[in-house]
Amino acid sequence: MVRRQDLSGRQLDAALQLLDRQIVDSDGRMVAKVDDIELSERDGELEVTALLIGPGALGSRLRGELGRLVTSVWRRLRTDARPMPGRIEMSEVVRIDSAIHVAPSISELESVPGVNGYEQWVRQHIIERLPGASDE
Amino acid sequence: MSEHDRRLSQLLGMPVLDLEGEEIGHVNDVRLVGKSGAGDQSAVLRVQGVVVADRFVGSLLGYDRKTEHGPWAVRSVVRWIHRGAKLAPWDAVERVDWTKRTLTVDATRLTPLADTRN
Repeated sequence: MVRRQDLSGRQLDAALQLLDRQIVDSDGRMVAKVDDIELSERDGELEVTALLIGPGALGSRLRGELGRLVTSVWRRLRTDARPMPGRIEMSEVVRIDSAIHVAPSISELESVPGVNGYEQWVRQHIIERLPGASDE
Repeated sequence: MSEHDRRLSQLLGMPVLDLEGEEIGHVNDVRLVGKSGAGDQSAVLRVQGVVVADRFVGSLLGYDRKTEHGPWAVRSVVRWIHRGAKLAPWDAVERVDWTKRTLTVDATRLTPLADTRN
């Protein structure tokens, strides 16, 4: 477990030090990369409220034809009517260094919509159907 | 996400206008600062300002920082390319038009980037 870092007074350049950084869970396992950052307006100020991950976040960042293609493929593959990108609350972030450390484990994060979605889908629909997949 | 939620990618690359509506650059990065949370809540990251670059040639790679070490040749080149980069404090931002993608600042309050990093 990584000790919570006090971020008070620390300056960070968002694109340089947060975007595209690796998100690491409480056991040091890789979760995803930061594809975009959610900013919320509060009392006239903008505050970082979540890390956004997955093609739903990356598509709008890429702009142009490529961005539209990524977003539309991602929408087609999602079953929910109004799909939203994977989202990890900023309050779950415990440390920012060369990686971004979050408090939950990757298995806890899998219950968050959009987090690790394709890996879960491949496991459920392909890996678990292979002969011998249930063997320890 | 609510209608008041924005994305960092909406700000990055956004044209920056002065109060007369003249374009003076674009948003190259967004500087955040940690603020103590209420009670026992963890610190929150707030937008402190935006880095305004007068040309679009990519990231400053951290070479604007006084404490950043690295090959002096690379540092010198990157600093020279971004010699016009400035920081606009968030309270100098008069207006952000998220639909038209423009950010209007009081240009008299821009400070050279090299003087702003702690």
